[in-house]
Amino acid sequence: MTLCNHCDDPPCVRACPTKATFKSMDNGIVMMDYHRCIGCRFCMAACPYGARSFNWRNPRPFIKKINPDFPTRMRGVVEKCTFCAERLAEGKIPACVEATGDTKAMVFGDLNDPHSEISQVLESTFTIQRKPRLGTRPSIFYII
Amino acid sequence: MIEKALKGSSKYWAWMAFLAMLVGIGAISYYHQFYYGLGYTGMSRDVSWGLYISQFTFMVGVAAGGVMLVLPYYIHDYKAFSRITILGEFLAIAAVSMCLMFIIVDLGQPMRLLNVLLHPTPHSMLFWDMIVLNGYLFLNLLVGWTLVHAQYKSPHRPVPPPKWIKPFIYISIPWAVSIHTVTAFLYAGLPGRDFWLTAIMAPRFLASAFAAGPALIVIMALIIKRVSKFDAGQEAIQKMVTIIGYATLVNFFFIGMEFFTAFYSNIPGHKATLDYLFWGLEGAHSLVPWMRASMLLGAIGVIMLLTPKTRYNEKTLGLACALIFLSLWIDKGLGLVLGGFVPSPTEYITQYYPTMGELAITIGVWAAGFMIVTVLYKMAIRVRLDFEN
Repeated sequence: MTLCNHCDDPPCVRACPTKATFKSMDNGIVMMDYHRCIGCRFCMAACPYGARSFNWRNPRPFIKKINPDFPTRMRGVVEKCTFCAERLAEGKIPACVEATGDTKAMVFGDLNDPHSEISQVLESTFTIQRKPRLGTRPSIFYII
Repeated sequence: MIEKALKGSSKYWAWMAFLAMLVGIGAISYYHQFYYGLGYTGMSRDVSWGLYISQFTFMVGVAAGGVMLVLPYYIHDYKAFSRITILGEFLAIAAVSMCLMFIIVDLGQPMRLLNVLLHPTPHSMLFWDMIVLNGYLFLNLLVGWTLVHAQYKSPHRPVPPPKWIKPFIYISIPWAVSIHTVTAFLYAGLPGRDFWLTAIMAPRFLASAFAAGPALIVIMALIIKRVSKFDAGQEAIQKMVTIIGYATLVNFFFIGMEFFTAFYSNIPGHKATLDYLFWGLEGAHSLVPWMRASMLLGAIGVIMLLTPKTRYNEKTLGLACALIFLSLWIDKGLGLVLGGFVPSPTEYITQYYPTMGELAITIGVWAAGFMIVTVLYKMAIRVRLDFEN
């Protein structure tokens, strides 16, 4: 699975016919309700970043350790990176960012807060976004 | 009125039994897909729509194509079409039914289908497609049934259609355009897919629809003439042939324009899918023979329609229409949808091959569509012949 760009104007949200994928009002994260999704995969055609995947079969037999904090997984729906919304709700950071430890290879934070660490990094470092010409305004910046 | 379709020769029942068998095989395959998931098919992360959605897209065109009979008759009072507009309307019913079946078999969670109505989302083109397709199905059921039923009730003297039906007929004409325009918008509004991101998508869809739909009607009219006493008439058939010829040429013209924009601008993203479809891309060329065949069959078909000798001979005319139908089916029912996924947004090249089960389901839906159109045509023609005798 590829990291979702959490676009400010996400084409996948525009395409979804049931609002199963939506932009969170609180933090702008592109979220997914796996239990509303009808599995039409219009979002997969719409995403310019290949950030969406579909459960072509039941994922449960492949899960070694059940994580009760994550919505139960099922076949026939699209899944995506949600910045570990269930961790953010508890005040934690996304698992991928935590995994990089103190290396600062990944920085996570509030883009709208000028004092946040991420805003400081964007100020002081050269970064690029993927396919900015498409007008999706990704919230993921790659440090060059 | 439906009892008219329950009386038929042994050939009729053999044909229906054959179709029922294909539907049955498709239904059994769908049962497996339903319990296993869409992993039953050949689709993948990179090619996330396959035969189901490509057939759906093509059949929307066939449904819309019927308007090429309805419009000349009701707007221009073109009398030669009076006996065959019903063929367009009833074909639309079967084609839209197939579209809905293809959508349903493509859903990962078909039991949640009604979420589209429970959570209406006007910014999704799929929401509008649901509205226009179901609306078109309703309009054609209403109009087709009312017209045939009026004749059925009065088998001895001609009856004009009831006045109240006229507005529905007139609405159905732009509505036919809308179903294919909105279906084109499913593709043409996606920012990351260069092959689909083209303003000419809807016009191209309409051109191919106005060729494929009437081509199928001509083929069926020729078959009907052989299996019943119903003759669509030389004038009507030849007028349809003119429509098919022009629409096919316009379709090829539009395809040519895609080539010009992609290859003259020389932008890799715009060229990649055309390369993949017609020449192969980095060793991947599963669709190349198909697309080249599509061009060749289409060209032969058009030449046959333009040549008086082959155009006025029923056998060669039927063949020409079949070639054009096949050509357009490959172009839109395979290349357009499947090609759009190659290369993927992350520039991977993944090829798609449908599985046997997926093919069985696809053939099953086609057979179900043929069953619907057979029953409807049988009914309409029986009522018509009863009146004419």
